[in-house]
Amino acid sequence: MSTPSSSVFSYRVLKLKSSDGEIFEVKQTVAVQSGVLKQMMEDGCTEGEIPLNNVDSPTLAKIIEWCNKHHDDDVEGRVLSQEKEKEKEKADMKRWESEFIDALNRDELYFLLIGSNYMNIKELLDCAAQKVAGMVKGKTPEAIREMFNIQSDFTEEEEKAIRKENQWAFN
Amino acid sequence: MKKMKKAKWSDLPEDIWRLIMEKLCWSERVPLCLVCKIWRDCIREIKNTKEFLPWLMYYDKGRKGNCSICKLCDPSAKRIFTVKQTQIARNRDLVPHQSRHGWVLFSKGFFGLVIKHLFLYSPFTNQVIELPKLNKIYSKASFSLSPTCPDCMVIALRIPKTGELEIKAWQPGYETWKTFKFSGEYDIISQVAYAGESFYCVFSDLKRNVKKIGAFNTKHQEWQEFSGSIEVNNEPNRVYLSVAINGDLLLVTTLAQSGRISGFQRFHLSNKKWFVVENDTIMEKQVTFIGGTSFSVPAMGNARQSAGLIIGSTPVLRCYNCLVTQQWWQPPQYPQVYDWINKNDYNKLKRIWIQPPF
Repeated sequence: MSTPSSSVFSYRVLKLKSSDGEIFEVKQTVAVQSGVLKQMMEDGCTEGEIPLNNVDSPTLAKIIEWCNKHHDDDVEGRVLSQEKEKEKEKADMKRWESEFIDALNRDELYFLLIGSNYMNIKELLDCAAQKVAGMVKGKTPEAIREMFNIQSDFTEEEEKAIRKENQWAFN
Repeated sequence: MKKMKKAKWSDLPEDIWRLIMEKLCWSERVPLCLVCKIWRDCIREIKNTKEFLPWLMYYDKGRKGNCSICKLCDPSAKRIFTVKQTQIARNRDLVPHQSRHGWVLFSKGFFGLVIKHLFLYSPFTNQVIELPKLNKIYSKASFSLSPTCPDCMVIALRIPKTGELEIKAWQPGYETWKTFKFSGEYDIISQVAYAGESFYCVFSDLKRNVKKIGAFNTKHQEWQEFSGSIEVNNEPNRVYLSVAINGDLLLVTTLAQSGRISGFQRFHLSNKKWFVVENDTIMEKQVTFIGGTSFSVPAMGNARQSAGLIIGSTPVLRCYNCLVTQQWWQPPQYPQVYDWINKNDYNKLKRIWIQPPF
């Protein structure tokens, strides 16, 4: 037999263990979207269970759902004449992404940010960050503090100074 | 399905907060500085890679009444901000000379024809820096850096008599102006622009045809004259000087009556020669703004789609595309990035390009 071809390789699965002990099986070709897992594969240390101490099972399920959707094992094989189809696919994907993110509640969004950052999945992290940016845009500092339960650590003078330095922004 | 833990947003790592705030434009980020110190520090660390277009600053003409309104238009957020209780209120006949890093150099009084009283104003901080009064009348003025930098220099120029150039210089901390005198065959000072360490100065004859160019080095406080000269054309022109992104000088001339752009030339600093700009690779990489204040910005980020344009601050100074087509911009006269501003609301106000402070 010849050396294993890439298609054989692609059906190998990784066993990911969430922080609460649940095991998820993920194809290598899907897992490669995670910078951390990709590095581990390159280093050849993906035998057995891979513990993801920062990601709980509901979050990991979401992350895998995202990666499965974005997994594309035949990019090279597509013909350029299908340019239009590709455009449509792109638009569909954008719609799917925003529905995926919009369906999350605030807690889920938080753990998704933490998880995608920890696993280094740039596209997902970007998408989640964009969502939070939209949530804070145009809100007053007070409203944002309440939204995220953040305490102000400014003294009255410091706050006054910031308002004075950027007077235009607080009208 | 297992129940999720409760999120603790205040524990979100700074890197992620920074990534979130990078998704917003500058004017949307600044108010968020007040949330907490982590947010403030994140916002301060963000380097601008997206916003290169200048803002528009609107203010009253103040001829009959005094200046009372000051507004800022942000092309990224497409928002207009009002500067409440503007410190330029009650001034008459304000004339803008230059804008850099959120500041504008204005002169006031004498119907704006001559320069005697200069001040720097930042509508972003609503701060005025009054400069010492000049005891003579000067014809042009400019400044180099934000006046919050100790190296900032403001200069005023005049030609007391043919063959003599007088430059007054002020730096933060100075109580009076420093005077420099240089001799040479100078007629009218047409425009001044700052680049590198030098103020470049364009001289012209009575018809405003550019004749000469010279530079005042702020570090060595020396004057250098360049030999190259150009003929613009025989009609009276208005001249706008800006500095191209590669450091060359860019001269835009408009017909005095119609405001139409009649030509643009670039002064090659390395070989000290003028040449006419045609299908120019430098113009492709920048956007030039002319009007009461003139400057060029790199055609990057939000300025990319305006590459090669010369955009005037007033409807008279229309937009000009100096790339291949060399055509006037068809109505609407502003490129999309500015055409959302309701002109009817503001047509009684003066407007100038202002470089935001970031």
